[in-house]
Amino acid sequence: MRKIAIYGKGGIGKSTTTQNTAAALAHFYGQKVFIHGCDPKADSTRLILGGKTQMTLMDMLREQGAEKVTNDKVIRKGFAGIQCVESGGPEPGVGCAGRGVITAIDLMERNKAYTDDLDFVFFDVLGDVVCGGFAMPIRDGKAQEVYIVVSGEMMAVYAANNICKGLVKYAKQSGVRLGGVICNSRKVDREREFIDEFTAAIGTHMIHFVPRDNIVQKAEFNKKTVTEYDETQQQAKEYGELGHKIIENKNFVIPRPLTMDQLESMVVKYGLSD
Amino acid sequence: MAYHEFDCSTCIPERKKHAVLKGPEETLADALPAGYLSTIPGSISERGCAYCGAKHVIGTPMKDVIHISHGPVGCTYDTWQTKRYISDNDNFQLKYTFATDMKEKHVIFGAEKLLKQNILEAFKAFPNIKRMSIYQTCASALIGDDISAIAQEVMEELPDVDIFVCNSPGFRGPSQSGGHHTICIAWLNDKVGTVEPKITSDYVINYVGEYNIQGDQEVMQDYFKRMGIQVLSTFTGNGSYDDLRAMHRAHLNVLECARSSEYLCNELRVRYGIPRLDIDGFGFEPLSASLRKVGLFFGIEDRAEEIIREETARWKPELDWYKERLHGKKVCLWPGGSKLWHWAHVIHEEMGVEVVSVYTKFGHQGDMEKGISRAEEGALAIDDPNELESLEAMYKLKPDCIFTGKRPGEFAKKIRVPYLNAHGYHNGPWKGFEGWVRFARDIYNAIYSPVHQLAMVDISKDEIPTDRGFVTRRMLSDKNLGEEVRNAPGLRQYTGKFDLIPDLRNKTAKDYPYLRQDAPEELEQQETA
Amino acid sequence: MESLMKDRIEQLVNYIMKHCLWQFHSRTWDRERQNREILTKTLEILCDESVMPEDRLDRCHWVDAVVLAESYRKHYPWINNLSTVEITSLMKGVHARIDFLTITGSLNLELTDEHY
Repeated sequence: MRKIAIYGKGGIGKSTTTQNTAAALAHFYGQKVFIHGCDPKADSTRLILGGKTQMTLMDMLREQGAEKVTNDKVIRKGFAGIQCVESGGPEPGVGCAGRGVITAIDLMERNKAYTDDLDFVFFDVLGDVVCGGFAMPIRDGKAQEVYIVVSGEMMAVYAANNICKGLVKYAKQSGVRLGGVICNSRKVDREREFIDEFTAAIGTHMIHFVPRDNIVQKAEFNKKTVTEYDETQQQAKEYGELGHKIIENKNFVIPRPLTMDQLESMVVKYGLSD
Repeated sequence: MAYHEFDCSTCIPERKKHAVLKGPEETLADALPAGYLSTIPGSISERGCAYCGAKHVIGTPMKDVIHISHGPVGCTYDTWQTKRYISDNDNFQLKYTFATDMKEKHVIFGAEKLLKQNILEAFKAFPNIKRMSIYQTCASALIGDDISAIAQEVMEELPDVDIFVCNSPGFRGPSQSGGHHTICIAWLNDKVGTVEPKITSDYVINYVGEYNIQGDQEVMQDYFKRMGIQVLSTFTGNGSYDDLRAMHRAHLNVLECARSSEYLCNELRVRYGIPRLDIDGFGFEPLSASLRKVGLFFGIEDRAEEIIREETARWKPELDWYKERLHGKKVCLWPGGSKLWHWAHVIHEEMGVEVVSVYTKFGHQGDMEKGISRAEEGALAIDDPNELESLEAMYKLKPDCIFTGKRPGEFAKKIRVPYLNAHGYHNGPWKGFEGWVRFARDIYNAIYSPVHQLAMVDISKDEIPTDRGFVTRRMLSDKNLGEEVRNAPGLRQYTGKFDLIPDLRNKTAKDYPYLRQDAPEELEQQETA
Repeated sequence: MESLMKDRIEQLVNYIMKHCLWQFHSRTWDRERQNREILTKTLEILCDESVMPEDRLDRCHWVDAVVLAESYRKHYPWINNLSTVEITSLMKGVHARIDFLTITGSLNLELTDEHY
């Protein structure tokens, strides 16, 4: 079983990428996949399940207590047999979402939800590693691989660099490694070159360039991944390709995050090209 | 059984489900107090938190360990030399309290560096102690400090130390009980099976759920050793860290406490096939039955009977002296968890007192099932009472004495109800045959202390009598006793020592002939001969 | 006759509820096993059958059964005069009643929790 955490700036398309990749892994390659959504918004599994889950792990915990939480109450099966659980969490602006992530993952491990027959477990984590709680998926014994989703936009690269800083810290403690950067294209000029240069600078690789295609949005409106919506689409094959590269991936590193100055000059180089 | 509503709690209607009156011809299937639920806002509970339960109740009695709180220094309030779980290594775990002293800046920037620095300092300050338990608190849990990773790091740097991490912040579970579970299961998962013990007897037990309050563990251990049994570990009173890592090698788990220890024993049963035997260490009859059961298990029941005969002959006359004088006295049995059922029937049967109420601060419904079954009809059973309910119960039931913790104990004094500390004891140990007499003596001393009569006088109003002088307990307790009881030749007051523990600690191998004889080497020789 | 039987069952049940702890394990499945193993062995001992515990887990049940049977004989001497058939039916009643009080009729909400 490989446990993978997906990080990246808020709004970059982590959940979309995770779900589409998971669907492709399950559909095209027959992989057994589990998605643990660690976002308080609880929308990390919507496309697999065909709609938002009604009862999150945290809802269950709040209403019935930890002793009553069982796997069959919180794990849902969706497209291609993919198992899904949503941690859920507090409303925006209240409580402590980070603690929610810690509690949820602890609980799932205690319940032995990540069974040995799985090929992949994906942790889809909220935006940035803003506090200790959001680092939970990359702690000891949890996810061993991290993929960061970026685009050619400056802020997305900043965020990716920050996430790498968190990763370095935990790489020593827990052995977690960066498996690569996924570019979810925004059709920014020279996007591919920028991310290539950035990933080379921090010591990793761009594992796949996912082109922008409206079919993704269209499928999303229908609460589906592209693969489920129409597997013949080119975009479904792109996600299949990304999935295949993840299966075959051997490139696991401790990243070398850039200093602010290095990052600024790289941004200037690509930003000034217009 | 009918639910009981307190007058003071009509404004908190949920509370009604938490109290039950044991009526005639009624069973547990008629009513059972709710339990192990979050305290209802507005009800000022007597509970502690899950961190307190993990650290101060279960963890810290372990004796050869630096126990450190990873959190603000306030979390260690009232922990320095205040507990009564003594140990035979000069009470190391009582004499020193450790905290990392987290401040606001550590909350913001993370406190892992601070923790590591504290761990190293502590080991340096106490070079003879090589074991440590780290307890997470609310603050360090919220910011997500990875304590296990730091512990691992230190263990790699200092190969002769071993560190146990307990992640049980105060908010985990409705009461300290949640912390008891967490630490028990964490110990089982992380530490049991990591040390291979030296087995020196054919009869090997773990003694689980015993915290050596004023020497309880040492009293019971003496009985076991007299029977030739090796007590591999005690969870956790007077227990040694490395012995407890070897729990998986015992033949039997002898269990005395409730819930969390049950879970521990159940898991030891599932994972290592060690059976669980529930016993009572309190009271002549229950203790005798318990020693017999342990003896029967190993086929050495004659040894148990020898002890029972000897101890009963020595101490029964003294117990009965007190029983004559305690007969019919009303008591409230208000401990935290397990003593509610350890004592409910046996103080009635062996000391003659009437248990008019049982309660538990943090027990589960299972504890209540046991307690109510054992109590007599008419007993009022209360779960997680608030202060006003306890007061109301005392006004209504008019007990002669209550057995409870120090918080309710203080307000009981205000209304002139004598109290004995059910957690820390007064002049314990209270386990064992002699201990049970000491408990009876403490009850006697509490109820008949002349100080209560003096305290009843309202000096602002009442005339202070000047024609009455010196009063003793004996004058009060024997007032209505017949001559045949008062000077019964077979009865006598407690004649043991002020402190019985030093004699136990001074015992040597020759005081345990069975233990020596059963050393496996010798047995093997016998077999081959 | 029936009321005598009922009364006797009640006496034996009360003894267990007051003096034993084994019937109050924390979950349904534990209680079912405890009640079954210990009460079956108690019955066998009361009927003078030889009981040979299979392993140490079983031996632990046997220990509780031996002590219970001894207590019954001591506190309820009438039991010594019953036939095997009578004891069997009596203990069947005890078992049913204990199962009711500790499992099927129990109001303990934690009995069915899946986790310790």
